[in-house]
Order: sequence, then structure tokens, then C-alpha cells
Amino acid sequence: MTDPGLVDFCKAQYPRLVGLLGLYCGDRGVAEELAQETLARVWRKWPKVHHLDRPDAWAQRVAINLANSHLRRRVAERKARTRIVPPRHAELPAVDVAITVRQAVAALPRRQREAVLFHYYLDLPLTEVAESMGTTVSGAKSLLHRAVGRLRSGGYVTDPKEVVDVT
Amino acid sequence: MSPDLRSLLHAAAPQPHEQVDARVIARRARRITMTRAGTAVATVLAVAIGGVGLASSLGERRPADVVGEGREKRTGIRPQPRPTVETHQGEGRKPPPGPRYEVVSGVHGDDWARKWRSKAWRLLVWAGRGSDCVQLAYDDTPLNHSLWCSHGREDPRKTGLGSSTSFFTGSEDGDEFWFVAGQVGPRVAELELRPDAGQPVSIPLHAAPAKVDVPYRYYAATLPRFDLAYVVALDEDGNELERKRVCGPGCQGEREASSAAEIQTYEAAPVDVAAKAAVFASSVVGGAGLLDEFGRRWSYRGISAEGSGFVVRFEAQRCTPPPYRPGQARCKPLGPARLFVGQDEDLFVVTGAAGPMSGAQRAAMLAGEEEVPADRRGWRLVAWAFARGRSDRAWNVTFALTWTGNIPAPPDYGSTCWMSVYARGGRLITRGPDLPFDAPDEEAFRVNELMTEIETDLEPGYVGVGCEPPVEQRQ
Repeated sequence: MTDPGLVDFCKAQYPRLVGLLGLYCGDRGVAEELAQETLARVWRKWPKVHHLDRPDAWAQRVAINLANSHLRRRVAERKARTRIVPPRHAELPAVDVAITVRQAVAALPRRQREAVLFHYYLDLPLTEVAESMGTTVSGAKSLLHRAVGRLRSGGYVTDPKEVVDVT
Repeated sequence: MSPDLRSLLHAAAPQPHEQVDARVIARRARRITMTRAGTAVATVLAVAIGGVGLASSLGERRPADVVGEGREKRTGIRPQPRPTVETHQGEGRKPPPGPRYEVVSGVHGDDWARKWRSKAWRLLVWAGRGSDCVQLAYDDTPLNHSLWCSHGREDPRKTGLGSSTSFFTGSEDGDEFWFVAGQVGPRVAELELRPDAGQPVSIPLHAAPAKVDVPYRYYAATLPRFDLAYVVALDEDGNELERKRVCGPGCQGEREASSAAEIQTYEAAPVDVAAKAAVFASSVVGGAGLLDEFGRRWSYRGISAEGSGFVVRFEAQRCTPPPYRPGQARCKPLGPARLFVGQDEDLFVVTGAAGPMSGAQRAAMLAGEEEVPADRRGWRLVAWAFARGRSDRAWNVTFALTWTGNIPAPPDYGSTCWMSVYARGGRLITRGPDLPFDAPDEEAFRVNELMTEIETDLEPGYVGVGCEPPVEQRQ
């Protein structure tokens, strides 16, 4: 019989994972697919996962790892396509602000993108961001500074004094 | 905090189309469990056709897979009894293209003469490009699972014995027999098999035909039953040059455990940044069209650190597309080439390129950049090309795979890959047979380039490759 706690966990985490992965990959369809794959792995490892302090953090880490694998394959495929197929004309920029924000976030270097989403979307304090990313607090701060700087140059952060909490 | 950014992200984050169905998740979880119950998880490395979509899979497994070690067992009595061979240390692979020469007729051993008087065992030498292979043949039938190839591993000329010893068992009518085969270098004067119990057995050595110009001598001999033995190479004075352990039926379990431990150690070690940079360089060169066996190509030779980056060395070559005349060299060297790789935060970037290339190829390479990947060990497709074949429907296909892990890898760390060819519109043209690979254990073999011929009425557009690694990939 399935643990009802597992079902509840999946239902609670799924929208959050789709949001996280959608911002990370810039594509909702891919986000849903990866979110389901993440939860399938949670399902399989639930006897161990549910004893963790933060099973949601474990799921988020798995999700990011899967997204990185997916993006690596896409980079190779895109380059392969370019070899054979002439490049298309540049697409017109999207009018929808939400889509452009997703594109801007998805265009950040991977580590900066992870830091931004962990801190600003998942609301993790810096110490947890650093731990999730395997870096120091100052390293995480540095990544956030650079990421926000890039987003600011794109017009997405209006507060001229960007302050990063240490909590 | 930056409230604008937080609210922007929350507003921009996509919502799922519908709530998750727990039954769907449960089914996917069971599928992962099933695919990992075997020895491997299949990973498709690249496909990408517009309209068809990605052929990526996070756990797809091919049916009836035989992984890597050639342990497929075939037994049975046929009208004309033919022995079956199960390889323990050899490899089940196709011999390389090249001339075949018979080295020795009749494998020595008392039992052979009695059992198969009218038939002959032969030891064949395939002098292929970049490797030498030895294969046993019964009557005129080469035994596929008895093929052993050097592929640039330890050179017996240096060590005397090298890693050349292969041990085979066969069975017919319920009777089992054992034989050992391999190569030795010129320093070796005598070869002995010393079993853990019983007297040593002298193993005759046979020279390769002079016209082959192969510097090794070969041996193939039946053995008494044993659990553990050593093949010992001796010089003219009877001094031991080297010995190789040969595992008989009694110590297979120990060998498997030792092999598993070696693989575990290899898997646990982080992948060197240099290894990742070499893969990146191969990918850049492949993307620029310079891993093309039908024209000009750069053949990977190695990587070394220079300053804060790396220099990746290649040999530039000009290759002739098939068909080839006998003895024709397919690729002529043009000279050295180099790619300079730097690291910018978490990105690999190309900082320079030198060697024979067109302006467009140079521009393509200098634009190369890629995130430094997480550790993984597997094959990555970096290039493919098509050229017309010998008939209207024939196409020659070449593709290059690069090993993404550290080298050297353990001897048993092999893998099996298969190639699929798709037409420009995305339709599958053909799916090729399994192509077993070994993870390279020398720098020059990080990139594996292969060629095959297909027949189709459609114009091929893309190559996809799937591989089964020898151990489960970490996520």
C-alpha cells in the first residue's frame, strides 16, 4: 500500500518543482516532464528520503540535476543541428513579461541560475543555498551578486541597491 | 533582499497544466526500478530531429541486451558436432578490417587430436589498423567470441607478455575443455602455464607470417582443468619476465569481485578537469566538421595543461572516402593541430586554434563554449558525416564518440553502443547492430571514430547513438 504521506508530498511538491524547473529550463513542457521524473525518483527512494530533515530540498536537488542533464543534451543537439541545418532567423522577442523573465533566468550561467532560484524562488536562506550548491556562503553571495547584476542590466531588477540577506 | 526579483520570479514561474497523478508517478518509479535491475541503464546520447522530438530517455532499456563481457553461452549438439566457446577473458567483437592470416594449424593438446581428428583448429591473426587481433577458428569457422585485440594496450614488445592472455572454455556433448591464447613479444623465449595444482605445461609459440610484419608470436593451447594458474613468460636463460594470472572455473567469482571493486574505484574517482576539457575540445572540433573521415579531419592525440588552460593536440589528416583499394592508406597526415581551451568561471571556452582548417571552421571553433559538466563516464556523440557509397542506394556513415570519463579505465570497463540513422525528415532509416567498445586506456583513444555502410532510398540526415555503460550511471 502506498504511503499517504508520499502522495501528499508529491502533490505538494509538484507545482513547486514545475515552477522551479520552468524558470531553470525556460520551458513548461520540459519542466513538467522533469518534475514527474523527479517525483518518480522520490517515490522509489521514499523509505530513505522521508527520514531526511528536508526531503523537499533533496527533491529540488534531484530536479536540478535532471535539468542539467537535459540541458547538456540540448546543447549537444543544438550544435549538431547547426551543423546540418542552416540557422533560422532570430525570433522576435516575446511580449509576455513572464516569458521574458523565464528566458532571462534560463540564460544565466548554470551556477548563477541555481543560486537565484534557490534564494529568490525557493526562499532558501544563504546558508542553505550554499549547502545545496556545495559552496561557501560567500561563494553563494558572489553568485547572487553576479546573477542579479546580469538581470539588472536586462531591466528586470529595479531596486538600485540590491541587498543580499545573510540569514 | 530584492523584492522585485522575488515577485518577478514567482509571477513568471510556470504552473503545471494539471495536478500530478500519483499513479503516473508510481508507474514511472517502477519503470526506473525495472531498468536498473539489470546491469545497465541505456542512455541515448544525441538525436534531435525537428518534428520528431528528442529521442532522449532516462531509463529506456533495449530488450534482450547482452552487456559487454561476451558471456553469451551457446550450447547444443548439432549434426556435425561443433564446439561452443564461452569467453572468460576474451571479447565478443568483430575483427577489424584488414587481411587475415593463418598463424598456426592445429591447437596443441592431447585431447584435441582424439576428439576432432578430421578438423583443424586455427589461430588467425588480423593485422588491422591500429590494432592486432587474434582469433580462434574451428575448421574454417572463426569463433566470434574468441576474438582478442590489442587495440593499443600494453605493447608486448615492451613487456614481453602484455595483457594479451585470453582464456576460453568450450563444451561439446557435455565435455568441457579449456584453452588459452594470446601474443608475446620478441624477448620471450618460452611460455609456461603453471596451475595451482599439477605440473607446469609448456605452451608452444608460433611466429606470424613474415609478410604480415607483425612483431609478435602467438600461442593457443589446451589446458588441463585448473582453478587458478599463471601464464609465465621466460627469457632464454629461463628467467621469468612476466606472469599473468589466468582464472579457471574455480576462481571466476573472485575475478568478478576484483573486477567489480576496480570498477567501483574508477567510478568513485572524480573526473579530471583535463578529461572534461578534452571532451569539450572533441565536441568543438566535431561541431566544426573536423572529425570527418571523408575529408579533412583532426585526429585526437592528447591534452596537456598550459598556463591556466589546456592545449589539446590533434594530428590533421586528409582522408579518402570509400571505396578503398587494397593497401591504400585512408588518411594521410597533414601535420599537427592544436586547440587551446580556457576556463571562464563555469564555462569552457576556446581561446585559440592552430592547424589546417578553413576560415569557417576556425570561426566555428573559436565560438565554442560549454558549461563544465558534472562528473560522468560514458560515450558522447561529437560528430557524424555521410558520403555516397558504391551504389545508388549506398551511403557511408561515419561517427565519432568521445569517452567522457578518466582514462585509463579498468580492463573490463567496456560498453556496447548502437547507431541509428535518421532521414532529414526524421524518419528512422536503420538501427545498426551492437558495437561493443572498450573505454580507452590510452590518451589517443579517447575519441572513437567508426564507419559503416547502409543502404536506403532516403537521404540520411542525422545519426543517433545509444550506449549501455558497464555500470549504472550516477544521476
